Amino acid sequence: MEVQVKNLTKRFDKTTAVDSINVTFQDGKLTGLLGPSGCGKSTTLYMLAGLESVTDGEIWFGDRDVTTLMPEKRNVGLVFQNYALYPHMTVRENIAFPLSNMKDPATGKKFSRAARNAAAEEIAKLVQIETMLDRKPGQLSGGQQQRVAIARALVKKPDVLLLDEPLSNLDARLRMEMRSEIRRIQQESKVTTIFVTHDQEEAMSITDEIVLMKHGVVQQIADAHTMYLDPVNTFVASFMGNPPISYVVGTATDGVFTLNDGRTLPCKTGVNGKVRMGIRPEAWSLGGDIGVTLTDVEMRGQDQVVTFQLENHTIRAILGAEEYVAPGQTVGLRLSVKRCHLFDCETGARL
Amino acid sequence: MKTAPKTARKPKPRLIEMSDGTLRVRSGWAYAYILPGMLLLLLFTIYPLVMVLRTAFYQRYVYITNTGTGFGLSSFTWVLKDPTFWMACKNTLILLLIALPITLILALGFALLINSIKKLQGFFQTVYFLPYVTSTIAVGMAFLWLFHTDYGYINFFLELFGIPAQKWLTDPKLMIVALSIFSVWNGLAFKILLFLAGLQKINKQVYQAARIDGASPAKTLFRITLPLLSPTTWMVTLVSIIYVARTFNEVYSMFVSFAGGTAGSGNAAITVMYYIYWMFYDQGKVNYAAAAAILFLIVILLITVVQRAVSKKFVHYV
Repeated sequence: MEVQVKNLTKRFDKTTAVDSINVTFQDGKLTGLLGPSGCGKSTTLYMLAGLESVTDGEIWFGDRDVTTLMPEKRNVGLVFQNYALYPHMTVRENIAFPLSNMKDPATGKKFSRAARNAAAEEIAKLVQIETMLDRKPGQLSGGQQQRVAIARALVKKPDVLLLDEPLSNLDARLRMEMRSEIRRIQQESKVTTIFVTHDQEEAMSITDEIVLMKHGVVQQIADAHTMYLDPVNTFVASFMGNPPISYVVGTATDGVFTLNDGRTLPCKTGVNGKVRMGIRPEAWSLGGDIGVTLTDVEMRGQDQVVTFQLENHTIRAILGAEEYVAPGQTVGLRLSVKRCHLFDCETGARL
Repeated sequence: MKTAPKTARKPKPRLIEMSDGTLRVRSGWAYAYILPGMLLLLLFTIYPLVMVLRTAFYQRYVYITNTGTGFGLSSFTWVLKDPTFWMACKNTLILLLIALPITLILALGFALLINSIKKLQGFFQTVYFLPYVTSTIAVGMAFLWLFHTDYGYINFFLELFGIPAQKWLTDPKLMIVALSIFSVWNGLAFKILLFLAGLQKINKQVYQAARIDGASPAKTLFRITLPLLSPTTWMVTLVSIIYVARTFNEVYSMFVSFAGGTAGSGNAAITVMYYIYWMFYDQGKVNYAAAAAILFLIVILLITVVQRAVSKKFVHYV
């Protein structure tokens, strides 16, 4: 089901957590709500769930206005950051619990115990915890608890599945595993899914679309590719990518970017005047005429991250690992204009 | 030339494993640290217990000289034949089986109410805790006036509804009712506090999850709150049973002060604890008091055994 928010606003006393955002979450897709902590992404999620009241604006689930609807009436599944499983119930009881509160849409009657357990077992198979149905949450690992929480959210066949930082409580290896699991489960169940994260890599790797927020304002809505290759402003450019994009300030004239100390770099044509240029680390490669002295080299196996100064700007670049470079060495680099973006010095907007 | 090996062998420290799995050096000092507490325990608990046991088996006992004659079960048989003792047992049972459950349910209800309000929560917590820090004797005086036949507020309100004035403090049938009401009121404060602490320990997100899962408030109470509160409920029940079984202050402050020694007219409001006291101080029959105390101890021990068995079945320790 398509989820649409119109001019959605949330104010706590004097601070505005979410500032009049307009987003359409596409039907059956996995959308990531991304942003640094305090950007209003979790608040937005909780407003969608109905646990947080809406100050202004509207929320639509398909053609249903749910803005003021109680959470239990919205038919959403929510996976909490720390799972919030019922610790005194077994996994089976946890998963079946939502069904015990609702009527079977097919018959209009309450679910029988057998029907509830059958549904719980079916969904447990989807998230691969069917062998642990009789355990209590305390006897499960973090990743298994996560699966139970997802199963509990999915069992009532929700219109929307919401996940609040679902991977933040897991260790690095499990995070990778659950990341692809969430993707798989979403694709198999085909439920419209919105998940909150502060990790750009996580968002880029599994989402169909990313909504990037800052200070309660949506910065850009795009798929991972567009968001990375075509950022609308310096915030988006800086937030996406690791190592992060580097910036230099200078003057652009007909495809030539002149730094304040007179050195020149290539840049795209059509923009003239004082600008800020963002250079992705992978824009650089060895074998060119831009001479720089490396201050630091970080070998990563498949490539190496080097650091150098251009004028007084610290630049990080990813170079191929084949050629050995060392700190203090002066190397000639080439710059690919396609991976450089020009921004307005004042507003940070893309030019 | 041979040289003797110079391994000055240190005595290997004896290690013991602590309950948390860490290793510690065993040291005799540990006994020194528990000595002061042990001495107090021996002097004021173990020694009197042994003396009570000794006294209870004398057939005749002189308190002043601490000498007794005859050895046997006659004190026990006398106590078990004493109708006042059985009245004390009956009253204590009424307090345990009727007044205590009412107290627990009321305390849980108040705790749930206080826990669900957001504003003034601290204020209400304080108000409901005040009775606990007030002396039972002082509160008893106040209740004495509330229950007064001619001038009490309780009869005043009853008369407003056309019910004739009751002799709360002198009618043998009503005395236990008055005592129960006082016991309920007096026990509420601390139990509310304990229940509140238990409620506040429950993860708030579990309630959000229950809302998302569509659980009604009643279902949330019975399927989420009460099971998760069960360790607290159990602890409160356990503490309360022992506390109520030892009811003494309530009897003393409401009935003894104006009945002169007996617990109200005809000892109608007597409890087991007051019976022991009354036998000892008022009647001067120390060996009977001791026998009653031993019987009481046995019953408390039995209750504890039952409690342990029950807790394994019904309490969710998370």
